Amino acid sequence: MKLTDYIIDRLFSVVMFLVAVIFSMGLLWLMGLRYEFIIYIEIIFGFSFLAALLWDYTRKKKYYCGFMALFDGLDDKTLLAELIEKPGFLDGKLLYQILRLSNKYMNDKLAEAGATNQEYREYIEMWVHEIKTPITSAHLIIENDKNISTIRIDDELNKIDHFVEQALFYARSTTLEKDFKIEKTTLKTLVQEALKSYSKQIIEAHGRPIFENLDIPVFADRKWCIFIIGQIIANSVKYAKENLILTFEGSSFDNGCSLSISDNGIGITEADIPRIFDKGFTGENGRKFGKSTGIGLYLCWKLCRKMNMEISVASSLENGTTVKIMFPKENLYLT
Amino acid sequence: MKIFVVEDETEICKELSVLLQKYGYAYESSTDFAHITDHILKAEADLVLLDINLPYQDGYTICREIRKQSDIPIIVLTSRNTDFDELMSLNIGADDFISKPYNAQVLIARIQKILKRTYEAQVNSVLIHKGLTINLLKATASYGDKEVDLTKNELGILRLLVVNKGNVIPRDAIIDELWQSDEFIDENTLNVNIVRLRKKLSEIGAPDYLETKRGLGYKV
Repeated sequence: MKLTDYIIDRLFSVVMFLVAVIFSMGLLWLMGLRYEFIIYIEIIFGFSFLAALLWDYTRKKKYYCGFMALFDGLDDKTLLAELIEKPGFLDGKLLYQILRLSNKYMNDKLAEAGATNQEYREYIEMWVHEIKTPITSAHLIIENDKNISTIRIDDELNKIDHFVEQALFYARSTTLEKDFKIEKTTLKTLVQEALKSYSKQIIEAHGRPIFENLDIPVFADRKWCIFIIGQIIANSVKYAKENLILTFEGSSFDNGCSLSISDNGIGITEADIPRIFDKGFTGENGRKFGKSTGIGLYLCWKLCRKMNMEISVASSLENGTTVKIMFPKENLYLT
Repeated sequence: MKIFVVEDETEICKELSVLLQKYGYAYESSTDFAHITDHILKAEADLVLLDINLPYQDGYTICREIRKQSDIPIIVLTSRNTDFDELMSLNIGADDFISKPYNAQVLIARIQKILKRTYEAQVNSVLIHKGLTINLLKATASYGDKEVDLTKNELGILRLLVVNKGNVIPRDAIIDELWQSDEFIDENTLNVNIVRLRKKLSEIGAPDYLETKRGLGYKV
């Protein structure tokens, strides 16, 4: 709040005051008063007016500066109305009142939306657990009677299972809670579990996994990481050329370790890479193949962010894609 | 070895009974969930497979009740796969936790592991088909009075074919089966393994045991 802004805001009173000064000056002159007296009287008027203006300016400036500082410093802006002090001037009081009321209304709406969201998430989680029972029965029925056609049905069941899993992780990714469990595991375990889950698709694509330096211990949530690696494998299979080769390479650093997953697939155009983790983004490959949903990598990115992990993509068109996941060291979770 | 299955889904019960009996285990279960703990204890089973979502009381309660009176191994099988459920199951005395949908081979392997650990005695886990006996724990095959050691891959291939005797199993499915036991082999390796397995089988007197169905797969 600058002084000039304040004066401009008060321009009407300033002009009216000047008009009053000029008219009273003329009046006093007509009355034949001595110039010294006229100037003296006008100085008294001018001083009082300026003093009142300055006093009003300083109290408002003080109040609104504090207000802005509080607003900037707040993490959760919705708490603003609860924390500001009541101003001493009338227009401030009115606005304060309105702000409090509108804030309360907004917070009620927020709580309502949060509760709906939570309910929906709980429903999805319940649904996922319900659907897993018939999937399990079907898997067991096939297990007890494996032949060419039941094995094909089993492959389709696995696809259903992957979609169901994706829905579960999508539901989990939308809440703020950190509901994952960090435990000690190795890159090898994570990669192998993810490979097993997508085994059939890779084998059908005549794919071959290569493991390099994966005996690195990591601290991470197993289920989440296996899901993330699985999504990346699924993409590699989806956009594979002939003789898919999947290379999993680990490397450790001072402050953590990384897992690179490279394929020899069709690659991604450079223009698409910056937006690859955006929700719903399908890009050039999505248009060409029409199988893309734009959810998989978005979920990977979101889950990684929740776990303090970094994920990045590098690719060269026609040669393949490398996705790199960075795992922080254990102690980073403790802070 | 008798396994007691606590599961309210009849389909899963039915299929588990077929699966377990294929691997030579006796099977028992009950639908009287109000008094399920008594049934479990009375059955004198060697291992319990326990679901969590059950009528009357949940699996955790049952697990606690059993633990008050018995040290019988318990494997929790559930679709509730949150970390909380896993921790909870292990804390109240379950020996293992497997989330649905589980791979049947993984389930069998865990059962074998726990039975072996608990009863120390060699559990008799054999598959017999057309005169060939496969010992799953010793990894051997015997025909008549001759016996031969099998590698992990050979055992996996033979087990898959014998468990599904009479059915043609495609090559992809065999590779997949081996992948599930951490052997990430490709088609060439499978060919080598099949050739070696055939050789071993003919050494013990079963030369044409493995049939090739051209373009489809293998069967026994």
